[in-house]
Amino acid sequence: MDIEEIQRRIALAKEYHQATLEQLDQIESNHLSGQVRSLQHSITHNILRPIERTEILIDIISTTGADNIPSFLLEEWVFELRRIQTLLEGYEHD
Amino acid sequence: MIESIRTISKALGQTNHAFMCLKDLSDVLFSDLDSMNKSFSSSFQTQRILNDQFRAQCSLQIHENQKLMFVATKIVSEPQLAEQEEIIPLLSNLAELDASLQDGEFGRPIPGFLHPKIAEIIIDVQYQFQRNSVLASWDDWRTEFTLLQLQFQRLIELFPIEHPVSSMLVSIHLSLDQIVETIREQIKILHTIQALTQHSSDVTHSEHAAYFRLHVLRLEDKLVTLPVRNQGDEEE
Repeated sequence: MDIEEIQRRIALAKEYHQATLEQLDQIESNHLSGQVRSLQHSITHNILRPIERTEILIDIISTTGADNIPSFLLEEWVFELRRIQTLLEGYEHD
Repeated sequence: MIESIRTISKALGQTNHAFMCLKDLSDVLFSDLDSMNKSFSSSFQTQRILNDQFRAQCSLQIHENQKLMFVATKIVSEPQLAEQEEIIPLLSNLAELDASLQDGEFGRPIPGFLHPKIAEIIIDVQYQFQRNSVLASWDDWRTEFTLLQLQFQRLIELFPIEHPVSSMLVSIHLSLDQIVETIREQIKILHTIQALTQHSSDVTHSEHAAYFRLHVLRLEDKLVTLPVRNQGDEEE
């Protein structure tokens, strides 16, 4: 697993979603405010938070060392990293 | 002939010392396994049974050795006994032993006898592997079992496969892998709890902190009380 590549793509994805949140903040329309808030909530909790958590996981794995993490937990975290990788596709082209 | 019996008697004395060293080793392992079994809800009973077999074999060898020693010492102190007809079967045991001695280091297996060179190495090995008497952390326990495993590995090389002790040493050596791995897992759990605790206090969002605290709780659940080494060597 190429951790540096994942970190690079995490940075790109975060940048993209934070920019989207800023754009959503600028929408001043009373009849759209409910949908905007809902979209902001989804982006924050379903995309940004898992990505941030992955960043922390990578940090823990790097500082602790993969060899010092119990195998059952490491397997779960690697699975989590692979899952997050699927959220990181395609931001280079946007 | 008396000179030969003197040589045999000396070799038997060394064998006795060597088997006593092996018995001491099995006593140490017995005590360590007992402590581990108390912490890990008797997860290492297979290792305990293998060690019991090894202890029993050591006792058997020591018993055979003492019988041979008695005959050899008696004949050396009273050479006229060798002339008596009743002594001839006992002398034939010593003759077999002498043949094994002449065979060399890996000669024919005689219960209660080891070639002096092998006996000497076993005694040396016992003194080479000095272990820590205080085991105050999982790292100490890992070192303890790794040293025991290394000691068994050295001993494996000294016994031909035909010797009854040989396969027991191999089995014990292999079975210690599981213990070393279990201890290593405990050390990993402690390291990871430390890292997660640190991160859960550093993270900016409470959502993340809760996620990492959950992992800490799961890991704490898998932590086992550090074994306490038995002071006495009382058998159960």
